Amino acid sequence: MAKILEVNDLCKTYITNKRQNNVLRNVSFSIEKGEMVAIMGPSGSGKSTMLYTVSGMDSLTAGRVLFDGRDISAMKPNELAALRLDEMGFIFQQMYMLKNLSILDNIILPARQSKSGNLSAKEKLERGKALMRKLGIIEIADNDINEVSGGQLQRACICRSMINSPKIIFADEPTGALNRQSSNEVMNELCKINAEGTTILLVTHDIKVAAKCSRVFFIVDGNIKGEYNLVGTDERANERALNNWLLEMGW
Amino acid sequence: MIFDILKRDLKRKKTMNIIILLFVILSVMFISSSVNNLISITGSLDSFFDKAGVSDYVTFERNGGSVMVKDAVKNAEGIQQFKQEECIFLSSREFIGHKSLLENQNATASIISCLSHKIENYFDSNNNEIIHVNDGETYIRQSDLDNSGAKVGDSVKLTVGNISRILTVKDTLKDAVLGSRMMGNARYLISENDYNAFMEAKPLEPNLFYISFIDTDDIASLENAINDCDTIVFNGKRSMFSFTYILEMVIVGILLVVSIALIIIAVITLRFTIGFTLSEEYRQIGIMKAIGITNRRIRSLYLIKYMFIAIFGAVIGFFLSIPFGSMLLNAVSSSIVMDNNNRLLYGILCAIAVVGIILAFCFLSTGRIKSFTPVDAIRSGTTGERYKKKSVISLSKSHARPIFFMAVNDILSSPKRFLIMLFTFFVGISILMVCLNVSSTLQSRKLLSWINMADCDLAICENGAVEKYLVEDGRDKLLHRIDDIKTALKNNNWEAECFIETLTGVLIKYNNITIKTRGVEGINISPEEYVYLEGSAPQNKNEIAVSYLVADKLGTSIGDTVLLTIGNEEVECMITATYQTMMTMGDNIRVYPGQTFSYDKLVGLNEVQVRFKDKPNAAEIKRRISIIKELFPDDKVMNAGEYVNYCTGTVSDVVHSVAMLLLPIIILINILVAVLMEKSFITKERGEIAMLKAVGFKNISIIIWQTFRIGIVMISAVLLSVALSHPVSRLSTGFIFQMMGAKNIIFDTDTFKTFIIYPAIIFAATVFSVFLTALGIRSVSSSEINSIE
Repeated sequence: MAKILEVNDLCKTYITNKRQNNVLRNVSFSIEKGEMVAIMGPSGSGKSTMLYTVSGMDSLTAGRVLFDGRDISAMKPNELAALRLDEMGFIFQQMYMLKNLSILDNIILPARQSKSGNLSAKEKLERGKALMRKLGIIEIADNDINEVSGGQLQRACICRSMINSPKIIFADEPTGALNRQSSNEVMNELCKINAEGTTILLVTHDIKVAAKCSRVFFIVDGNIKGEYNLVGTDERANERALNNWLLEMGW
Repeated sequence: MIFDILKRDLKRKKTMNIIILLFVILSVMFISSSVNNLISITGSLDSFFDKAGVSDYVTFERNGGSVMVKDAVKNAEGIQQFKQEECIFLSSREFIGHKSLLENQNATASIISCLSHKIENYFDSNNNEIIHVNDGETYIRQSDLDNSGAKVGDSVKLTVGNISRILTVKDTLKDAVLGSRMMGNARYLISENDYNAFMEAKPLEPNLFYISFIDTDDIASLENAINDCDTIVFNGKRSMFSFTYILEMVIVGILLVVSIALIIIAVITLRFTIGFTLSEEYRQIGIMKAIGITNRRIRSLYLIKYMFIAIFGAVIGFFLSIPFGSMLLNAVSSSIVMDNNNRLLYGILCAIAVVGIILAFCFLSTGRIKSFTPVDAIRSGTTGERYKKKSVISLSKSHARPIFFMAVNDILSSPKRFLIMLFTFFVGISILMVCLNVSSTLQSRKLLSWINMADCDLAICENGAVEKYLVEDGRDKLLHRIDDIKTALKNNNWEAECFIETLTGVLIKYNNITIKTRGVEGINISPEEYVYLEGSAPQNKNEIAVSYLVADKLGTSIGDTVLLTIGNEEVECMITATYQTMMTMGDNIRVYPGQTFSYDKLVGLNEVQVRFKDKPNAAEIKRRISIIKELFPDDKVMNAGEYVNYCTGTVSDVVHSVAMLLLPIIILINILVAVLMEKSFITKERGEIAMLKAVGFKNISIIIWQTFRIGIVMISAVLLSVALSHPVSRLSTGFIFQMMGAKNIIFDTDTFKTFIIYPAIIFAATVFSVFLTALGIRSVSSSEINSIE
């Protein structure tokens, strides 16, 4: 299978108050198209930084990141913005949407901003509605963002991330602010999307969430300490096996 | 701890705090200087009139009346003192070496006086009483030097009849009675020897002029007694003469209005800032409450901060108001002897009042703190903001680009946030538009009709008109002059109507009320050519039109019959119309042509007006004026607008200079408000900006979104200002026109300058400042999204 993301010797250093803080240290990994990979690790280990750096949202200090064969570390901010708009999708723990737009308008906003593709405004609208229907939230299309539950809002964020048919979705703690039921619903949707061919790279603290992925990276102090492949289909068995592996890794 | 929080807050919200500080500084600086100046001028005027020795009543009188004032007052009761001074009307005056001399001359309105005849004390630029004038030197008022582009030390050639003298301008003259800009007659104070030389001029009689000061405790009896004086040009109480300094106060008055607007803007901006700060710091406030800090203590934290800013700003503003106020006062102090009273006190009081208003407003605005609970601090995922408004338009139904849609939608969804800006921009642009409207109206051709003058293309002002036409055979000479002009124009193939207006002293009696006023007669023009407020033009000698001021004084209305005394002749006339006019401050009547008069008893003469029959456009009129100037090289030729400006004492120029002073102030205020708002928007929308960046919006798209919103508000403010320009102008400055005799003015706007050029300058400066501020979004990283509250 072709690689969608290839990361080599990625380093990220912050300088705070003249002190150097090496958040990522020579991280290397690759992700195949269609994979669903979780990044786990203790707080402050560099999970989110890694996600943001490999997705082009944050600059890297050293190393190289190839996205679908293109070196994003050499891209200019506008090229990166265009890449994020047309080929990547993002889901965050904080379900940020524009307050003054309805849910549906928020979802179709990236599509309307995108200049690639040949879809008309009407087709983009239909695609937004279709995604909402698919994720079971069509009834909240015209609602304001303060009128819906956290679970519904996160599913709306998933719709927004999918609106431009991205090659990959980056998700940072997508279930972090949700209750268990909403969390399950959101993860089920992400699994379905992955099953349809979209690659997903997510950061999570939740073993139940990670157990739904095909691979898990465990990161400590800015380095990938280990990698675990989940091969079975039994979710409970996967959770147990992952839990044991994480305990071994020092979780 | 409180001071630590305060210190951090002052540092963290540096820009917002600096802008609030600037508003306080500007407010205090403007209000202190304008209140100071207003009190100083009004207070100084009275003492100036006292120092000058101006009496209770003043008359200006031409030579040759059947009854002269000095004789008439003998019949009045209550006269305590009577003083009279002889002066001479100039035939012409010419500042040597000034190319603009013809453009700025107003020779027929100038007089010469000398100290040996004086009844009034005069002062020089240093407020010292002038007790001696050297031969070959003269003192003149500052406004005349300004109008002529001349300065102290320049030479001026004065001519009366066949006598000319070249004199050096020694210094400026502070002349209580004739010193205001509104008074058309400028005085040249010269030595006794020079004055005596002019007394040898031929002809002299028509140029002799008398100013009388009368102290009385019975003004009604005095006015009754002087009703028989048929050559009084102008007369009035002392208070009326001090009132003529109102134009000197225009700048100060407008700045007072700007100051009040500034304080309102400062207070509203402060309210917005406090509201914004509280919603942003709900968590901090909640935590403070959770650890047991009382509401009062938390509230005092904010009050201390704004008290510190207000006091600091007030102190700076107060000190800046001293040089700023002096600068503004310079224009006025060149014509008034100012009192050296303690002006600092008013400035301090104004500064304290501004601090008080700001603190009272802070106190009210921080009342919201009571409603914050510790739970607000603990809650996550919300910003403490309560949503009320739903999105009102839909992107899915719009074809606009997302960033433009977002900008419009933001304004419609949260209009309150943008109203402050709309209000500020509207107030600033409106004040500027009012000044520009007044200025352009006061030099508009259309004003001729609105103030009961006949429409014309140009006017020709002739030197020495007094001695030429204000004589017994003046009418024939005047008609001859008009024929000469017509012939000269015809020789250039221009068919034109040429006409002029004369003013005569008349008595008008209705019931038991008799008033002295001026009868205006159009020579070579029908009364139907004038515009009336009500009624129709007089059709015969037994019909007159009266100004609304005269109608009010007499209590007459259209259809009433009054008894008119012109010279020795009494005639019953029916009032057929009322009109408004700025001539003789609105106090005159219009008589049917042909009734006048012995021209040596005339009290005034306007300029010859010319109206071409082929209705040329402005460019053609300009071309013709340049040719006519060559035909009449000694005369001043003005287009209609310039003639209006000339007739209204160049008030237009004063108001225009105020507008030019206001322009940078308005731009500065707009920029401050826009930057403050944009800064707070960026802080408040940090999460949304990060999200937009994360999903692939480019920086420039977000910057355009941010800028476009304020651009829309700015355009709305301009449109609103344009739509309300005339009503606002009428409401705010109608009194100035009313003061000058016109109660119903239709403003003539220079559309291109007022509605396009100046708003475009303000728009460009404001939007550019917002654009520069919006560049700050570049520092918001999309990767911050999960760490932004």
